[in-house]
Amino acid sequence: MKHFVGSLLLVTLFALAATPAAAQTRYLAFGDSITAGVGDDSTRTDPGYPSRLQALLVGAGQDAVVLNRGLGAERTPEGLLRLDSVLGEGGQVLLLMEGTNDITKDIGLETTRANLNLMAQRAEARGMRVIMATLIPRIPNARVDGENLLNQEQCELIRNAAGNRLRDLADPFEVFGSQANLFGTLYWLDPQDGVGHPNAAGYDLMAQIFFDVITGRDSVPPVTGVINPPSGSRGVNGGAPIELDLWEFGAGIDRAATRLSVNGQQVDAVFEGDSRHLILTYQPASALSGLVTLSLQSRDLATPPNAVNRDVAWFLTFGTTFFPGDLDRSGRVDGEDLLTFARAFGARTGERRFNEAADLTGNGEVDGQDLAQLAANFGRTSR
Amino acid sequence: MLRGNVPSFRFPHLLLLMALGLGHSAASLAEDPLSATGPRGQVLLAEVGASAELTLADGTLLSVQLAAGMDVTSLAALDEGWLLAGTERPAGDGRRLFVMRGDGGGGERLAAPGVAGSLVQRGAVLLARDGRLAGMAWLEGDDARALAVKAAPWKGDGWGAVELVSGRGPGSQVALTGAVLADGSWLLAWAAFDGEDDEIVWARRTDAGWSASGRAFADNSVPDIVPSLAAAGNGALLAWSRLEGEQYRLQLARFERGGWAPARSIAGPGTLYPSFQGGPEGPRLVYLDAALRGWAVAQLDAGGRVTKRAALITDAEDRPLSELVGESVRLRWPGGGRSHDLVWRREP
Repeated sequence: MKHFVGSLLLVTLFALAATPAAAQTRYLAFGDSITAGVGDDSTRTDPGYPSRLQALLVGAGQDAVVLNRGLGAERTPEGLLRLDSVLGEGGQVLLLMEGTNDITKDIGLETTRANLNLMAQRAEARGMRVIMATLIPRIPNARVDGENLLNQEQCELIRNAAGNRLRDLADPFEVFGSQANLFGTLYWLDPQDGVGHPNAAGYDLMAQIFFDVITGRDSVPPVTGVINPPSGSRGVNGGAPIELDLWEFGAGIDRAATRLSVNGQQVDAVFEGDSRHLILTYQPASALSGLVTLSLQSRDLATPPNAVNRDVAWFLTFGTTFFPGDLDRSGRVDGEDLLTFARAFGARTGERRFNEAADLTGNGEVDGQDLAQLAANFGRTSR
Repeated sequence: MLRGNVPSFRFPHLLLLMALGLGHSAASLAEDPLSATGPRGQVLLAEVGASAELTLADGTLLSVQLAAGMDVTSLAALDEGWLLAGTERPAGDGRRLFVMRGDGGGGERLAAPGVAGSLVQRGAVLLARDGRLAGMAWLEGDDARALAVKAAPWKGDGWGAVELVSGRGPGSQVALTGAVLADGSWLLAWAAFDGEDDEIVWARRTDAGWSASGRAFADNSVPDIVPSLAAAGNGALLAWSRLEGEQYRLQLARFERGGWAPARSIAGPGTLYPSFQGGPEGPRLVYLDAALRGWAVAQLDAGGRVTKRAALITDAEDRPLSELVGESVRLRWPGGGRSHDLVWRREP
């Protein structure tokens, strides 16, 4: 008996030594290079957002430790394997931000969403709180999806995955995307960067985003989940209903202040749901045509409220005709077309800078006649 | 132009960079080096700094000049030289196929197969056998999330009419891979979301035209992802990863007599991103072993049985190239000069 008690005492002492003080909260920051801190100030010994988040939490009086468990280049299939050992370290909160490398590696968005869900479920099975995170915008130079169309849809799926399972959500995609001169101020400008990593200021902001979620400070307006038709889609049936998921991961959606507009005109959308999740459905009375722009006006119930009032999606209907000069066939002759045109100006067939789409007259040279055509249509929208 | 949740006014830096002509990164390859074997030996393409370097079978090194924004995804070794294909971003949101061909003296652009108005083309796969180009396949659609599978035959002096292999599905269609079989037919495979999860889908082109595309294996409720296909004997071998239990494991199946033999798991948990390499000695499969934290290589016989295996613990992110060196196998990363000779471990 004495031997048993002694053993029990030893086991208890060992457990006490191995377990952090009861008041301490251990956060496991799991992800890829954007969690690891690639692109951060090279003089930092603890790059990335986790160390900054820990400083913020400690500064706010929490006994917190945030462990950086980011691994460069990781995709969610490998993350699934590594996660178990990370969860085995013990912790109360999993900060889960992964998936941008999946896009580059030809892994479908649906699979990435499923993998992230599996990861979150494993942490929840251990009794942990999971804070899922959207991805940051990819740089325009990214080898794949520099347009952020896949990335945006991935983020919408992540919001739905978090919202449907009543998980918390940190939303770097929304917050980063709202910053002026985003890539000029918050990104690591390295020519070899094929995805886009934050710089020191970017990591500061990421830490603040997670800190706000952890401490319950609502700093993000209602955000869109899955949108149908998806933004950027083409060949859409103009008579099909428009459906938009709207999520609010903080104080709740101010339903009375929420409006959907189509091509700048407010429409009578049907609202279903609650203050956390609204589904906005609009059935056009007659078929839409050309470039269709969806705009959202909403705010949350925080004090002061976080508001959103902007275009949230666009698509092109089947049979859209494009004005001469709409080089990227976006449905609008705009500044991007002009920039594309400028890059090819003066070039002839066979020359590297020559762009067939910019040769509007088809004479084998991008010249003043082409510019005149583009200028004549500048600002016109396909309807 | 608007970009969904991210209107253009929120990306003023992009506009500035484009105005300066710096809006594209340097030409880039697929993440990994590419290799192809023809009658004269192996050709490989690797990223070296910001440019691309092509190594021909006779050891000739060519610095390939690619325009900004080009993304190379396929390489072929032909009797008369080499061919590479990929996509470029000529304007706005679109991506277009491009093809280059050349020999030891350099390379030039070759007209890509015709495009029927679609904006996005991805995943170019050159289809060649015994040093001869048969055709090319790719993904194409109006937006990157809803792509069809298309192909075009090579007629000797240009591309034939574009053929629709498979229309848009209910979700992503990604990771296209293909091979020309000994009987001259073409076999394609890719990962397609079926409304529940990703499945491996395939189609075959014979003299009678394309077969209807369909699942390679029985419907399941777990993702099957990132396939790789290679001709072997009179058929072909397909490798990919499937979520089994709680982890992804490498699978292998043989295509023979017009159908697929049952899939079987050939590696442990966390094995992903297979690529067939090898030559006359038989197919070798190079894949990531995430449990090992490194890269592994498996030597297969024509039936797809793993005869021996080797692995290397490394933090290298790019897939290495493999080559036999005496009784060993060498894993090599072109450009950086790293290589490791590994001892084979025979499989029971």
